[in-house]
Amino acid sequence: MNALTLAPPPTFPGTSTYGLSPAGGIGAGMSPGRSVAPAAGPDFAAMLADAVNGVNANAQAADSAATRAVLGENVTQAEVFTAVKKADLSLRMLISVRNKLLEGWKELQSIPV
Amino acid sequence: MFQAFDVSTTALVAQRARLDTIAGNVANANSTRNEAGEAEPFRRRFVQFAAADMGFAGDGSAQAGARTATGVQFEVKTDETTPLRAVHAPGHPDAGPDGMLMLPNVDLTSEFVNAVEAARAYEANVTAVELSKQLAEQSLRILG
Repeated sequence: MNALTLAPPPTFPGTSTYGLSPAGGIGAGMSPGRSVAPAAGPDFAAMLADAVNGVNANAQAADSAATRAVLGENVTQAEVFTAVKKADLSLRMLISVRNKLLEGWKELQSIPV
Repeated sequence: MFQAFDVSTTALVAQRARLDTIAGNVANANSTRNEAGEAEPFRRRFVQFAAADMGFAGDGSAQAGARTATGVQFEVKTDETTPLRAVHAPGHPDAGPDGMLMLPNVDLTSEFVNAVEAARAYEANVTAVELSKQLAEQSLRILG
């Protein structure tokens, strides 16, 4: 699987760009049609760490957007709300993956030796 | 994964700016002086939209050139071509020697039509965000 490279966020005249950063998060690093061979590409742990970092970045972006809006800076509601929703969705996706992992682990544990 | 959100957000920001500009036009429909207080009638402002490249949609691979996500960017322009409105208002401090007063080239009717259109465009983009949200939430159900 190839490492995902996202284009840098665009700069728009008259638009603050912080909310438009390429979304990191879980799922970054997934590409359809990848080969099944596990030799190439990052391992699962690295991918998971990447995902956690991405989710964290989204949460921080949402946080700073909200702060800037409250401070009266030139931020529209739409930007704040989208940033918050992005953070929310990526966090929930990460939690889903974690739950699935734990489920698998419990399954493993219950195998009689 | 959130490209659709970003694209819709640029549109929301742009439509919001358009509404802001319209509000400014309506507010200054009778302004005969500029910001500096000089006798220069206000000129209608409008927002010009342009497509904005926002990187790759979908899986982010370089091969997906045709699937590039396209947002919208905008620029606020001043309408210099529409003629100013001239009214006979002798005694007005900004009226000319012939008693004619130049009023801004703001046409309230078209401003309001534009405002309604901007509001509807905003609504449409909110619906697009709503759908992207639903899509992401539905996808979560796959993991269950």
